Amino acid sequence: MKVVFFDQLGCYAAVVAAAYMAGIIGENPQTTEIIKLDTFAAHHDWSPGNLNYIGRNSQNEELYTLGIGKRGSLIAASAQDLCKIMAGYEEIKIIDVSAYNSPIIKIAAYLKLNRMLQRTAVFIAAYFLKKRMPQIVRKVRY
Amino acid sequence: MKLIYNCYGGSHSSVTSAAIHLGLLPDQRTATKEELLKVPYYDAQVAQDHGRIRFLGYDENGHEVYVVGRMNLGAGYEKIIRSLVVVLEGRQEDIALVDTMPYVNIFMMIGGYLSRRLGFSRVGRSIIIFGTKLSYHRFVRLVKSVKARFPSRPEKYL
Repeated sequence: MKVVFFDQLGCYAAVVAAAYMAGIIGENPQTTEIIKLDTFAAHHDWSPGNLNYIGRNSQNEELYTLGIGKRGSLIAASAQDLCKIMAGYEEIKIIDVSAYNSPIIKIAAYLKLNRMLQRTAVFIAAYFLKKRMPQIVRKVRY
Repeated sequence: MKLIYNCYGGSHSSVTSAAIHLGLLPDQRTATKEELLKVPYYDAQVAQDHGRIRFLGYDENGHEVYVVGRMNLGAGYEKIIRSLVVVLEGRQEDIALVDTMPYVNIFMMIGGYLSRRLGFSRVGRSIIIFGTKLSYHRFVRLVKSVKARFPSRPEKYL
């Protein structure tokens, strides 16, 4: 079984959720811990489809993040059908955490593409994702 | 091999192309209104069906033919699907995504919007059928190029 975390760019809430599940960060991480995550805010454009491997969880399941743009439910449906079509291959579980990227995080993602504002943008995104951590933890656990 | 024809709504251009591919619609002449309406999923998908990969049948070479509505994801959809194939540890060459949107004309867009989005299926459907007939030979050309690209069933399936 593999677990794929979805969000718009695959590098904000998805990375935090996957890192929590992999035990890389705890339930109450510091902003700096989030910033230090390898693939956090690692986007260079707006294109979806970026896949990143985060690690393994306690059940030895591989954890990935994937950027899916603004069409979470559409991709979730396609992913389910793709699993059926590719029967015999690996099984995947999909967790869409797009909803935890608040408008401020989306603005930060936009600002991150500006070289001058990169650091500030990453800090803002990490800070507001830290605030969302209890909800992310709930989503990942259940 | 899995051939996935995709367009905005997964209702018209992808379904028409897939049906031509499978021989459900003729490739020597333009299909009639009745023939088009008989094709499964033609002008039948709703918003909730977007993203659902529907199986339409096997072609003469044993390839599986599917249709899907991917809305405005464009090339990003293929990138996402290919990333999921990586996760599934599948073979990239087992899947081909065929975008039918470049062959869609303005009548199909207007008709599709009226029929599928606004629910005016009577008016919308006649406009779509007119548009589909107008672009029909282009769908036939597309299907022929797809068939030329993926001619026969790979040996591993035999």
